[in-house]
Amino acid sequence: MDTSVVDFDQLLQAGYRYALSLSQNSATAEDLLQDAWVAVLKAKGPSTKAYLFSAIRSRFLNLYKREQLLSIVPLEDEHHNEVPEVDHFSENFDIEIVEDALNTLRSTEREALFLNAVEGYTAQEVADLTLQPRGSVLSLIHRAKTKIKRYVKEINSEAMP
Amino acid sequence: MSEDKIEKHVKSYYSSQTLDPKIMARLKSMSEASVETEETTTIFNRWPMMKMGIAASFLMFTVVTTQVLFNTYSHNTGDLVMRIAQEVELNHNKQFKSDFLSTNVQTLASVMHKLDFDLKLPARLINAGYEIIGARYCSIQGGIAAQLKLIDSAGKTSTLYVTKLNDLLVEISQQSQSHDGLTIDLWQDESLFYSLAQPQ
Repeated sequence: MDTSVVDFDQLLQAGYRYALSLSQNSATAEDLLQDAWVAVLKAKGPSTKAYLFSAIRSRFLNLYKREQLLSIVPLEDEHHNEVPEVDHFSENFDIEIVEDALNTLRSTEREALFLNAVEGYTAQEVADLTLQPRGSVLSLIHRAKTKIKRYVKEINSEAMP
Repeated sequence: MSEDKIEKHVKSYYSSQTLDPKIMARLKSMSEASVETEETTTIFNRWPMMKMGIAASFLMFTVVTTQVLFNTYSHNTGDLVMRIAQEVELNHNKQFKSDFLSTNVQTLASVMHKLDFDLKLPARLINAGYEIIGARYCSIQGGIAAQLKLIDSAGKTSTLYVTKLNDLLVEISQQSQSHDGLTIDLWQDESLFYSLAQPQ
């Protein structure tokens, strides 16, 4: 393993955030990262983000939420209640609202959104990493954004007098 | 609300989430310890390595001699299975570094040009919880083979051997052998012959 060129801080932070996107729980994310990191070191695997993410994902599937990740999404959910393009998010970043909105997503949706929006992976790269068709990834990202829009809209409606 | 704004807020949220510094320090120290162990092994263990080299040469001589004797006097399947299992066990225990690093079998197939077959995973290992770490060339009974390093969910390293079926290998039925703490599975899948060595 070439440790001289690897920024471990950056790699481990990225691994933690990816684990968090899967589990949405900091303690579980720490466990996943630690297990995966031990396995990577033990196997003398490459210190790359893709390899670490793959190890984290595998552990998440095996230990925690296999049934959740593999469960089937009802077809009607796909285009359910398209939210009109009205700006419900304020310019100011509200961490609690974003966190609550992310909590309404399924693991698969959060994972696809994280890899695409935060890590900058293309839909094809997300598809390769998560072993699913590109079309499914695009659908997951679209669904995740729609759910967030819907959640924020509801929150704002409740806040209105 | 634009999609850009959602992405921006999601990015900001994840940027605000950071790993506990204590855990970060512990994980980093584990990686440093791992590197130190590797360096110590390289610098201070030369004599054992030489001894291993001599032993390996002797073993290779023995294997070659045995193989010649086997080829001369015996061609039955039981002997062939035994020889393959020994060969697989030897290769697994050498713990060679992978020459090709990829977690994707198709990527490995695209760069391992010397193979005279299409490298692919057998049906029984797809979605079986193994991750590929990398691969290198090797040989099984004189035929070119791919040696894939795999890791399972428990972090155990296994080695998968893939080669083209030939007139001898086609006679071998699916079976499992135990050798010095290793389980060695042999089987065929389509036109390929597979052997998996994994710790018991």
